[in-house]
Formats: sequence, structure tokens, C-alpha cells
Amino acid sequence: MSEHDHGLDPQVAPDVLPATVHGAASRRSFLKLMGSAGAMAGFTRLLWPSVCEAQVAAPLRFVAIWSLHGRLDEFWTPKNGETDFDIDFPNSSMQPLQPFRDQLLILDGLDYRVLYEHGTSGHEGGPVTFLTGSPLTMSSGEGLPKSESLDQYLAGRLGSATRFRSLQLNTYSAFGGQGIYDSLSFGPGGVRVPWERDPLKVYQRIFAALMTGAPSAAELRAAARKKSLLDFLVRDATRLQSRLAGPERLKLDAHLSALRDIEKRLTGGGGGMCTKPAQPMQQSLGQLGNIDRVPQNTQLLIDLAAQALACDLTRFVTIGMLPQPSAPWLGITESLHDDLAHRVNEPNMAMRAEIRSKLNSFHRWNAEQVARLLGTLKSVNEGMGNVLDHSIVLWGNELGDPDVHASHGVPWVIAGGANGKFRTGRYLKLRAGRDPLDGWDGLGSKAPNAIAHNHVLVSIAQAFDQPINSFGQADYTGPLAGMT
Amino acid sequence: MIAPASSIKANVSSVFRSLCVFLLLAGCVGTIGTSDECSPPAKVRRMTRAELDATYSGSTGVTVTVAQGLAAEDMQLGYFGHDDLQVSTLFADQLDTVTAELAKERAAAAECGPGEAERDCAKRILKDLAGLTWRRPVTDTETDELMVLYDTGRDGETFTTGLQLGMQGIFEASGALYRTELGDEGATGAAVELTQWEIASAISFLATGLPPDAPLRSLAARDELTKADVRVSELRRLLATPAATARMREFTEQWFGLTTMGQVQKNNEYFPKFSASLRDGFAASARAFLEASLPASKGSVPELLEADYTYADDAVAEFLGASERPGAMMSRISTASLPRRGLLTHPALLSVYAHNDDGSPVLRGRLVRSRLLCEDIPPPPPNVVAAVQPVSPSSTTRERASAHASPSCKGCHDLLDPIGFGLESYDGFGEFRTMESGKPIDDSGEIKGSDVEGPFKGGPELARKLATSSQVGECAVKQVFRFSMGRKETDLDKCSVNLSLDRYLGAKGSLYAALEGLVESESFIKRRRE
Repeated sequence: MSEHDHGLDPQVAPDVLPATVHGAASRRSFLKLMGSAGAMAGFTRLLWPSVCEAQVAAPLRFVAIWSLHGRLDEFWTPKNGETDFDIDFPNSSMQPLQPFRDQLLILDGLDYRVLYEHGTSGHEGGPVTFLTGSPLTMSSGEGLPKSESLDQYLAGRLGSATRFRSLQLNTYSAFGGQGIYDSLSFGPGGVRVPWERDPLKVYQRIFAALMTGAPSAAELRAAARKKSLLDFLVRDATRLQSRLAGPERLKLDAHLSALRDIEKRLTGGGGGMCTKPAQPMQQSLGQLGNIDRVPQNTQLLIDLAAQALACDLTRFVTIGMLPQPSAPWLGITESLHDDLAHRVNEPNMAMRAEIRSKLNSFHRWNAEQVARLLGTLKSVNEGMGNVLDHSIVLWGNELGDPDVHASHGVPWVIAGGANGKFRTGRYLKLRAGRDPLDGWDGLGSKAPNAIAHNHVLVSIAQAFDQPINSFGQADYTGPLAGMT
Repeated sequence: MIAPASSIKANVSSVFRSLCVFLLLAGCVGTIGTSDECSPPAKVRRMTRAELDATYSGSTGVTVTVAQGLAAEDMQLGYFGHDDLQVSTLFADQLDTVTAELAKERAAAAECGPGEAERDCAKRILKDLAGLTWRRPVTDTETDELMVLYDTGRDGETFTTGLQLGMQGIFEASGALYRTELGDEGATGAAVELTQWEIASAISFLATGLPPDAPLRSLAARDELTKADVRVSELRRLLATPAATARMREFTEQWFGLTTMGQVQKNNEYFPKFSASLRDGFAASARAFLEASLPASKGSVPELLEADYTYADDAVAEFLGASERPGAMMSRISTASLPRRGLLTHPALLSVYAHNDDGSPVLRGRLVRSRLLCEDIPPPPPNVVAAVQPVSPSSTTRERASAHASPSCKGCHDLLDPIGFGLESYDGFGEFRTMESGKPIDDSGEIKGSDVEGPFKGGPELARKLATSSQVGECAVKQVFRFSMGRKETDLDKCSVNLSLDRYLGAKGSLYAALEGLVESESFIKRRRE
């Protein structure tokens, strides 16, 4: 993985680096074991039912990864055409994705049209609509979507096949608490789903409880106690749920579904034979909030996510690479937002070139993180291919031109084999030569030239065999033309 | 967007005018203000992490901090505790882990009476703990269910493992995780009154962030809390405690957007005086000021805005240009002869509302508009080329902000920037200055719109204007409501908000009095069932 290790803090002790992914080897040894599997049928925790399924059709995963500060055309726009596109030119911001070129779908000219026609654009609208396709509504006084995000929609319908329906990770928290700029996943009704940012806690939750070997008598008694506890908690929460209606009832629905997830994990459901990654080191809150540790923590979280996907512990992940004041590890000590993103159109041309080049180094760094995720997924064999072949990775952004808070021309890239559902290895110019805001008269009026990102959300949902024709705002029907 | 300058009463009633018209047309009998129109919906509120820790600490009698590490609350309306919180999958997983540890520890510490039978002892301990953790009487069914947990845990193991399982059930149960506003289970009809236990929790968490104490529980047991005067006197008793001071300080910090004051970073190239220790000193100074002024003035908003004193140690006093040297501890110093009044000119606030290399008239203006005048400021429109001029030694902040004079920016920035310009005497780290880039500072500002419309010069004059503004008073009452109830006020809250405003004004702008109005109102204990 060394080619993706740019920016890795050389101070990092080797023991915090992720272990090699052993999922492939484990699966093979497990399959050998399964040759004499009759004897294992009586196990209380059955191991990895999906492994057998994998031989028939590998499970499809969806990962959404999010970064900020838009695109700079001269560095972002691929050269050449649909299939002979080139992202390997000097200073190309997507150059780190070159090794995965054949599994990319680069979407040029995608717009958060719903924000122009129904809501509020800019920094506030981007993260809200990214996966929901919803306008930003202020009806509660707080900027929220009206409906759930695609990852939660899919996890709600398909997530019960794995130990964890979904994971939400966030690499940095600048605001002291989750808010409008750093929430990507939303539950039914548009409620923010909390994220984790501490690699150790992610590890403990996902991997620490994975047991290997046959359970001891003490473990079996502990499991029985746990079952009894959950029975009690479910009965108790159901009693409260029965007294509630409307949005209040949704709260207890979410609570009960969380309890059932814990219950399900008592009786197996994946990951039993998966090798645990190395345990990340403990960090204080101050260390987690330390900007200098962003590269290290981003990579730890990405590796843990990749491992969880490779082990089929979950199939739906969102990763936010969220607002950071600066990027000192790239030599960017000035404010990314004020001094770079908002000055990319600086009138002094020499200064403009310097500013754009600096911001591009940040964009490239984000691409390196995406490449690290793709590389890890690709390194794990599964069935006839690898885990990346069986994944849809969506890399999105809050803005197009960062200076003008443009919610159009937002750089989106889809990566991964998608189980063959998409025709990849292509660069799609969705509205070449057309101005998306031509004829648009301001917030709330129609922007007929803009390409709604909702179509891509529909395409992804359909790749998961969901029978829907719109997602989020209902105006925008159908998948994005040309994806399949 | 901007409220007309007019009397407060007129403003308040105008908020509800559309509702009145609707009710008249609908042929509604009854006057505005009866409980029918003033009963907000029945609901459950998930506890914040701090409230959960306080609950566990209260019921176990030891200081518990297990919830601190759970998934953080998201912020809504600027506040961490709100009505949308849920027991998400992540939260439930984490809670399951930490309550197992807590139950193990508490079960090991449990003691039976001399000669007490093991199972009777377990039943007594679990029932008592459940009552305190759930803040209400425990039903027989619930007790039986807890004993099933005990028996399962005891089976093949020990008394302690049995107790542990029962205790974990208590800590993870809905009674611990939610505050309910539902009324009696058997009650029928559309309108319900909260149970005595629900009222006790509501008063207590509102005032202190803690579960009900023994006197409050005893009033609940005697059905006394339906009486408005009893509720108010209990609230007053609680507001005099240190826990209430801490809670009101948290409110004020969230209201003024100061929760990040301990994390501010500045570029030393532009602010050579910046250091982490001085920044921490500012935060400690602001906290000390709030902890002193809030209880002493009963949460006087004019005092928060206009106090001519603050708290400082030597380093902060020197930075402020004070002649006093209070020593190494935060102590009260006078700012009567300094250009510093209350929170708006406090360096902790000024350095939050700034960039790392410059002050920000925009952010400072927006603070006043959105947090103090309760106006919604839309985000910048798309396609505005916001060519912000770089910080340079040859231009002033005010000159650089002239980019906002273009027609597409002007609409909003005219509301924001002129307020911020009045604070130009304080740089991005909050230091007082008379010159910038070789030019004298121009700190003339202007508030456009609102009842205190008009020009002003410098921080103290801005503070004076806002301290006398009726719109700021109304906004303060709304902010107290949002923080306390965890949601934005609606038409159904008009009775409680109006009474809260009455009490606030009657006490010359007291936040504590605003809380009394909320608790006194019938709406505090009446709910509507859907």
C-alpha cells in the first residue's frame, strides 16, 4: 500500500498502522473448513453465512466519501474523451486515482439542482443534499433534509445481512459538535445520524467483540444473560413506543431497531473468521482534535472502514473528510476556506496561480485518501475478483467553484466494479457547453439546464435492485443516463 | 426580516396575529391563551450525555462519567440538547458497553442488610435504583421483569452477577434514556396533564441539568406540582444552587456561540501575542465572569452586555490594558475606564468571531443579528464572486470589506458589516487598537432595522444599544425557550413564551425570571395528544 502512503506521518509508530488484510486468506481457510461443516451446524454463533453466498453473487457495498472546497478546472478536468480520458497529467488532482482508472466513472457537470430550485445552496446545502437528494429545510429552525440519506435507505433495507447495518465515520471535527456542515447520514425523517471519529473506538466496536474459536461454557452463559437483557430492553422500549405517535414514535422505532441490531450480533452474522486489524492507539480528545494528526487519523479510519467492508461486517459506510481550518502537513498554514478557497479568483495573477496550486495540493491529498480506500478494497480477493469489484464508492464534494459557493459543477467520481452494474472506465461530460444556470432566476425558480444529482442516487439505488425511480425530491425521476 | 421598532407587547402579539385570525374565522370559542391553544404535543426527549451521567450519578450516589464518551449530540439552533436526539445504533452500542461496566462496579459495591434474604435484598436494591434512575415509581410488572434479569444472571453464577444484569437493565432502560412528557398512561382525551414525576424532572433538568432531588421528589409524591406557585418556588430554590449557575453558564456560552473559545487558533504572524495559554486565559476569564455575574444578577441580560467589570489574571489584565494586577487567579477587575463592557467586547468572544489572520465585521455582525436579535440571515447566494481581498499591511479590514458593496452582496451585508465595523477597535485576537495598517481606526457603526436602529461608535455604545433593545429582550426569551425545551417556539407555545417575556421584563431583563415564566405557565404541564 506504500504508493498510497503520501502524507503518512513518519512519527507514527508501526503498531498503529493497520495490519495487512487477511480476509481473503481467512475466507479460503474457512471454505476448507466448511468441507466438513456438518459438525459446525450446532454452533450458537454461526460464522459468516455470506461466505457461501459469495460464491454465487458477491454482496454489493456502498461507500460514500466526502471532501470539501470544490474543484479547480485546470487541475480537475480530465483530458480527452469518454473512454480515452487522461487523469495522469502533471498536477492532475485525480492523478492518485490513475491505478483504478478502469473502474472509474467521472461525472463532469453534475449539479445540486434541488438546492437551486427548492432550497438554499452553498456550504449549507451541499452536505445536506449530497446523499439525501432533499432540499435544505429550515422548518425546525435548523438546516436539515426532509428525508433519509441513500446509505441509510439501503442499510434499512439490506443492512441486516451483516453485523452492522452501516458505519458513519468522520476524520475531523472542527465545531465541537456535529452540525450542519459535517453530517452526511440522515435517518428516516431527516434526523442526523451520529458519526465516530476515534479510530480506537471504531476498532473496539467493530472488531474487538469478534470471537474466534468455539465458545466456552462461560461465554455461552454470558450470551444467555445478554439475550435476557435484550429481551427486557425490547419489551420496555416497545411499551413506551406504544404510547407514541408521529415523529415521536420514529424515535422509539430507531431505538428498537438499534436494540435488534445488538441482538442479532449475539447469534453470529458475519466476520467470524476475519482477522482483526491491529488495535489503534488511545488518543485524548485533544489529540483527536489536533490538526497535525488529521493524516494519521484519516488513514486509520479509512483502513478500519475498508477492513470492515472486506470482512463483510457492514456494507454501507459514509466517511466525511470534514472542515479543517488548514492543512499544515501539506505546508498549508493559512485558512483553507478564507485564504485559498475564497481567493482562487484573486486578481493578481501570480498570486492566483500560487493560491490555486496550493488548493490543488489539498484536493490531491483528498484523492490520495480515496485511492487508499480503493487500494485496500482491491487488495482483498473475494469470489472471482476482489472487494473493490463488488463495491460502489462515491466520492462527492460540497461545491463546484469554491469561491462563489457554486452548487453546480460539483466534482463527483464513482469508483469500483459495482458488480458490473455500471459501465466504468469512462469520463462523462453531462452537459458539455451548457450553462447550468442559464435561465435560472434565483433560488426557488427552475434551473432546467442543471443536471440533478438525484439521478445518480437513483442509479445507485437501482444497482442495489431497489425498485425506485426517484430519490429525495420527487421532481427528478429516473437514473442518470449513460451510467449502465 | 427586520421587526419594526415598536413596543414589545405589539411585537409579541403580532407574532400570533395570524393564529388569532384563523381561530376567529374558524368560529373558535374561548380566548387566546387558554390551555387548548397552548398545549404543545406530547413527546419524549432523549437525554443528553451530560444528563445521563447526572442521572446515573444521582441514582448511584457516586460520580459517574460513563456517558461522556458516547456519540456526541449534534447541535441544533446553536444548542446541544434538543428534541431530535435519538438512541441511534451507534449510541445504543456504546451505551451497552459502558453500562455493563457501570453495573459491574455498582453490583460489586451493593450491600444487603443483616439477615436479609439474598433475593429480597436484590429486589430491594433493584427497585430503589430503578425508581431513582427512572425518576418515577416502578410498577410491579417492571419489578418482576428486573427480577427475571436477576434470576438469569444469578443462575450458575453469583448474587453479584445477578444484580449486575438487573442494574444494567435499569441503566439502559427507556426510563433512564428519556424524559417523557406524556401524562398518565391511563388518561384519555386529547389534552393531558404531565404526571407529577414528569413535572419534577422537567423543572429539575431545566434549572440544573440534574435529576430531581429529595425535596422535589417529595412534592411530587404529594401531588403538589400542579400548583404554579409551588413550581416557581422550587425553581427559585434550584436556581440558587451551583449546578444552576453551571447550567446557565452553559446556556450563555451556547447562546453567544462561545463553545469553541478554548480551541481558537491564530496565526502569530498577524497576532504575535497569540498563545494557547493566553487564549485559555480568555476562556477562563469569560467563564469566571459568567459564573459571577449570572447568579449575582439573576441572569441579567443588560449586565451580560454592559457589565463594567470582568474577571482576569495578571496576563489577561495586562492584555486588556488594566492597571490592576489581580494575581494568578481569575479575580474581578473594573473595566470602567477601559473600552470593555460585558461579553461583546470580551477577547474570548472577539477572537471566536474573527479569522486566524484578521478580525471579521461579517461574523461579528452576524452574531448580533442571528443570536441577539433572532433574525435569520440567509447564506451567500450562489455565483457571487466573493473576491475577498487578502490581509495586507496597506489596507484596513474595513477597506477590504468594501467588496461587499456590490449589488448582490449588499442586501445582506448592509445588515451585517456596519455592526461589525463598530467593533473595529478590537483586532482578530480581541486586542484594542487605535491604528491599523498605518491608518487610524474608524469604529463608527450602524444598526439597520430593529428598535435600536441607528449609528453608534465603538463597543460600549453597541453594548448600550443592545442592552436597551426590546428586540434583544424578546430574542433572549426565545433563546431561553429553545435551550430549555430543545426546539424552536411555535404558536402553541405562545402562552408560555408570553408569560416568560412578562416575567423577564418585570425583572428588568432577567433570564432567571424568564425561566420562572416558563415553569409558571400552564403550558409547562399541559400536553396535546395526537
